[in-house]
Amino acid sequence: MFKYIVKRILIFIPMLVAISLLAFIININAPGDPVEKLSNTADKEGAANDQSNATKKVKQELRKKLGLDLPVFYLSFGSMSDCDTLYRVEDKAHAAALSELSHHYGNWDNVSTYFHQLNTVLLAHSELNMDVIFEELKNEDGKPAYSKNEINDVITQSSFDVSAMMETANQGVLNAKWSSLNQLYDTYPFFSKIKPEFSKAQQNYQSMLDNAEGWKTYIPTIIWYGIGNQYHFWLFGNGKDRHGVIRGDFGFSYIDSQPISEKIWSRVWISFTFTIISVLLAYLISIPLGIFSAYRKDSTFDRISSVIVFVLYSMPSFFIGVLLLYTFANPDVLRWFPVSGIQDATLFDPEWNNWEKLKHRAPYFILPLVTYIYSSFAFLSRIMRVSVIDVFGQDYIRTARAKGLGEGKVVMKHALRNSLLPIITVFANIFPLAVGGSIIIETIFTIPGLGFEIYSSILNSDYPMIIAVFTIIGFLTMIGYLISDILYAVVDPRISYK
Amino acid sequence: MNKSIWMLLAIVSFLTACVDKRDLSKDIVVAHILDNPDGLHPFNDNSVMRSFIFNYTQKSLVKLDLKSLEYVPSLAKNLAEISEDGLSYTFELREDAKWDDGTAVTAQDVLFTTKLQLCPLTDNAQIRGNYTSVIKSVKIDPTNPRKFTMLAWDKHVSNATIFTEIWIQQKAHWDPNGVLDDLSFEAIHASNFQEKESWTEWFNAFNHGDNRYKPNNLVGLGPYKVTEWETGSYITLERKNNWWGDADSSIYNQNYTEEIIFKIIKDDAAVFLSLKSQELDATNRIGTSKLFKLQKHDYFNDAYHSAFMNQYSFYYLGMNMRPDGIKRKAFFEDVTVRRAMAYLTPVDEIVEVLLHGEGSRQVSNMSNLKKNYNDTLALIPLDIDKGKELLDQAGWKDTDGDNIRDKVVNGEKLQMSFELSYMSSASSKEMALMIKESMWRAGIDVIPTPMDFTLFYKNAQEHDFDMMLGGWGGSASYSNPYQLWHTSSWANKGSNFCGFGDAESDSLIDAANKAIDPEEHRNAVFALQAKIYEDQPYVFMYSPKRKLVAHKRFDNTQFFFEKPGFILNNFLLKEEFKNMAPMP
Repeated sequence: MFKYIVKRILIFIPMLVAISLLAFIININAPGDPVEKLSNTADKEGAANDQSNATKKVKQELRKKLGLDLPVFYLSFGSMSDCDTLYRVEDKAHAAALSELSHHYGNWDNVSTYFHQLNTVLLAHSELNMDVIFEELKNEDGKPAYSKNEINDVITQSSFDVSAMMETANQGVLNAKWSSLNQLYDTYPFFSKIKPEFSKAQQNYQSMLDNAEGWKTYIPTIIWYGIGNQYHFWLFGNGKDRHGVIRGDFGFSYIDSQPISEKIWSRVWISFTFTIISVLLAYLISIPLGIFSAYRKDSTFDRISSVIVFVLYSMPSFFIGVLLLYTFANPDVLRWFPVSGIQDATLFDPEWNNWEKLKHRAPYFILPLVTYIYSSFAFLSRIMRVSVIDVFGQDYIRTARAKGLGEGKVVMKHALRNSLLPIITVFANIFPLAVGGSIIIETIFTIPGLGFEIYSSILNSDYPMIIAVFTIIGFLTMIGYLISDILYAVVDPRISYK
Repeated sequence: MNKSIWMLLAIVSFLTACVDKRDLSKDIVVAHILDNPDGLHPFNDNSVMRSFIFNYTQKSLVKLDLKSLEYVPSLAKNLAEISEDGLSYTFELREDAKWDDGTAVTAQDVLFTTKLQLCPLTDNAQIRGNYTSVIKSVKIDPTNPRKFTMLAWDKHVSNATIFTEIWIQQKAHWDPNGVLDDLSFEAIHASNFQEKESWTEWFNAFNHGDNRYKPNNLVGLGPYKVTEWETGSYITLERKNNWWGDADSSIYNQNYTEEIIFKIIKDDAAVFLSLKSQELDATNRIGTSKLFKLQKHDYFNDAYHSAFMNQYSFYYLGMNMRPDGIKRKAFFEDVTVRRAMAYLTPVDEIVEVLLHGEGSRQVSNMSNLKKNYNDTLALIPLDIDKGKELLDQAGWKDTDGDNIRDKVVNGEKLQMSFELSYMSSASSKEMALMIKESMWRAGIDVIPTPMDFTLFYKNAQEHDFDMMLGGWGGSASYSNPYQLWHTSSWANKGSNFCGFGDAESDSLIDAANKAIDPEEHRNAVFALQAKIYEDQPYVFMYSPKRKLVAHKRFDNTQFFFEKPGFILNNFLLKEEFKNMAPMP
């Protein structure tokens, strides 16, 4: 047995690596740029004038803090056309466009030259001063050739188009932009400073197309980056302020910059309490119920309880939750329980001792608990019933009865233990449930547990939080299966793990 | 059998005793909020909930009066004295304003606060630009420690009120050692900001999460202080003893109630039941149908004041006026087509069905509650025939008999079949389907396309949509049209999603922003509204009403158009409730 447990724990290691990899892959592919989110510049009005050096610096620091300035993994599988330093490109959209271009045309040097030239064009826009152009360009009659707004309008149009070109590898879009921008530059003479740079970019683009080395994309390569990569950083930290997932540091929330682990720990006890109590209750009620139904198979009790249990099982928990609220927390019907939360802000005193706290909170727990357990209650009692009926058909039960054993002994000693196996299988899922809580129930009853927090995180795309919960749930599922495997052996001596 | 009946009765009576009945004689206001604020840091966060709570814990120099919708002085003695050139704004602080430690609020504190608001090291990038583009510096009057002048970069209509949401902080509390004394406005505004190590260290501590959540760190000049924050449950504010404004008569400086508790409830049914059992004293966040139900009960009406109030936010259908022609086709480049869409949108029906009639039609980009609303613009009614006629005029006709209009654009035959993107929710789905049905009657195939917020917003900013269902919040104060309507907000991927605007509208925006003379400002705002109305980048739909509820055990529970809709510190417990026993 001990050997088996050790073996199982050893198998955990590759599974954990797989879970962490999966979580990590989801994390880095999540839409949106975390730096933009954390620096809160996403929907800032007139974003351009805020892209000062200071803000850029803030963003660079954030990238460093999040480890985004590193390559993604220890190594990368790619083709000869790929660039090994693409991770240094700060803008996510730029990096995507560059990668696609290099995949298409195979020649990284050409792609890079073209891209840098486009960037030069974009930077050249800052040299176009609207006021200067307005003053300098006059018609023959001495009046300004263009209004300030028109100048401003075409300059912004041009800079928008160029920056859009840097974010795409779509040939159709690029061709359309080349021609529309050329037209724009021909119409407005003040683009004369930009035009040559732009033509050069177009030449670079053409030469990239002409000198495409498609064959390079078919030659696989492996690039080795070493431990200075995002995954390593995410998993093990940097040895300074970040400790890595392995030491329980899941990073910072995008919403309020709080450490994720702190957020989880402050919430998890509530969800955990709920789950433990509800699991205990569910098992305590449903196992005897299942046995009794099986024992009195096809009796009136069995039929009625089957109907009730199936009706309950078929109803979704958000419906039952609201139904319970409307019935038992409603002055129009019965007002037995409070509506929401886990304590009354006007009465609760943090100085109370545990017993007083428990007494105060107990009524708040009842409706959510009922909502938590009713469906598992139905589910468990059905499983129990079926497996007991199954066991009752076995020869050894007949033998036990033939030996003259009392009914009580037959059921409790011979039938019960053997029919527990399916229940144990279900038990494995309890641990992940304990952490996830129930998002819907916690939202309906405003219980500040982890489920409530996850709900907010999902609504606000707070990926580090979602990923942390995902990883923890994965880990706990494995623990759950280990425990249920051990319980199998305890219940059924025939099962031994050697 | 008898035994079980007794048993049942015993359980029932035990359970009935479970609920601690709320004591309505307690002088505590329990107000409802939907979610945790992102934090209560004086600078770092930017949520509506935060401003709601700051009304009671913080003070700024001037504020918008909910009654008159004019700006009134708060910490300042009077509104700004404006220099001739419109570039200097002089304020004098009230003599009686004191920090919690009893020291007077001085111009030094304002100077310090302003620096923090502008400094690139403060973690407030989202809103910083609104201030750095206006405030050049603050100069203290050498003869009067309570007098100072704000120097602005340019003439701008909002210069005088820029301090409305700058919550004044105590220099002696945050920076007792004067680390930031040598941080000058020139340094803050410099394009290549050079930070010193001492500043970085100070700001790291200042931006820390503890200053967002820990009650002891949430200090301010308001009549209440945060004493407890149960994340996800509630936030408790307690009245300060010997607060400096105790003797003041302004409604914003009252502190009648001992405590204000902001209780978090997300679920609408739970809000409904909480009101039924009188567990809440005030809410501005309850569903329309739930409030309707409540208003049918006498016991609710006996216990609560409730009302549907107009507000400044609105919903619209945005149309992509400048599509790239490759990914997004040119459906709405022609203003005639956009106008036709306005005739084909069943706004009244949407308001009737989805809001039970509790919404008002929106005509242009400005709410009709505002005094600068252009009332000469006529509402566009639902008129399918008129819509069809306009589409015919624009060349969109059904030439192939498939009941969908088509047109040859740039040599390519286009079917009038486009995506209507919206953020997925039950009500917006309903709305999208109603629009689809109505437009189908004019030979248009609308494809409702739900998506989550992140994607929706990203697509809107990148102009990657045909038609979108969106909404904007608003307030009684002047909202700078630059963000939504200036052409550069289109080019820079700002909030001008549709690509509205030309030289004329840009110059109107500039004129409206720069005019300090009210008449001049009004003319520009009027003209801009007319221009937007004519160009129809949006089909303006409706403005939903705000649902307000306040308990009758308090006096002074007036409702206002402007958020949050009531003034909680002004709630005064009625005499007859003070000696009341707990309710049965």
